[in-house]
Amino acid sequence: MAYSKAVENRTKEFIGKFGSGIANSIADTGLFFPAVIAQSAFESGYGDRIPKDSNNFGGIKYNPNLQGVSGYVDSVTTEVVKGREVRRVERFAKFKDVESGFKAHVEVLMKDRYKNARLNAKSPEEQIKMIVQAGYSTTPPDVYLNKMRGIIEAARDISQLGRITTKKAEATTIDSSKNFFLSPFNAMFKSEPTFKQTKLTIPLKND
Amino acid sequence: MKKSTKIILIASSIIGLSAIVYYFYESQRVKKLNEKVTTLEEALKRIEELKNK
Repeated sequence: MAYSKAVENRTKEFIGKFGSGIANSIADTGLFFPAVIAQSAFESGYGDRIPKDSNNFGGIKYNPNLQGVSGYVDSVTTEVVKGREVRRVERFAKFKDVESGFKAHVEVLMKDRYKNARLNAKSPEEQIKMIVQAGYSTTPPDVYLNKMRGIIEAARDISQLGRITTKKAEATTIDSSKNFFLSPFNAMFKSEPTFKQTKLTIPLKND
Repeated sequence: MKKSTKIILIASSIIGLSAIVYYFYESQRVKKLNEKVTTLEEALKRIEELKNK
């Protein structure tokens, strides 16, 4: 556990406020719940730092073709240009409500260039790096990940969620027969029970 | 070997071993959570529980 009590509390509050909307938006996409929570919380400063009335939790640049866009706001942001941080004004999308903002964030991540990250990442950390490598941000992948690593860890510990599916057959089930060896340590190290992984076949919403 | 040196060596070994065991089980816990796939229904229930805590 490498995050502070403040990160834990703010992440818990963020999940309480926006977790349901995010869970609904990412079901069957292959996106990790802690990854989307961390990215949304980080990009928006836990919802405190988003451009005024924009409902834009993912730092999404303006594109009139995005669903739920009601306009744009110009806001100062930090971009990495040729390895140097540059402060400049960028045009960000404005969404009609919070739900639309999250849906648009997920819609961006549903683009084909993020398909590999969505389906093949083994952890939220790896998924964030792969998303950035695919062109999500101008910040180098490791730097971007390190900025939100604590939030990912807190979100994972608090929510105990990974990927989310609408199909019961794809959900992991507890396999108690394999839990014998780990059981004395579960209580000591807050271990989850052993899960039997059924093959995950995530249908792509944009395919 | 002095008795105090022995004690320090044993203590260091115990701490080192504990750290390895802790690291192993912590990584297993995280791995299992990452592999976990939850139904939307369960996830929403879990988030609702968190709100009320």
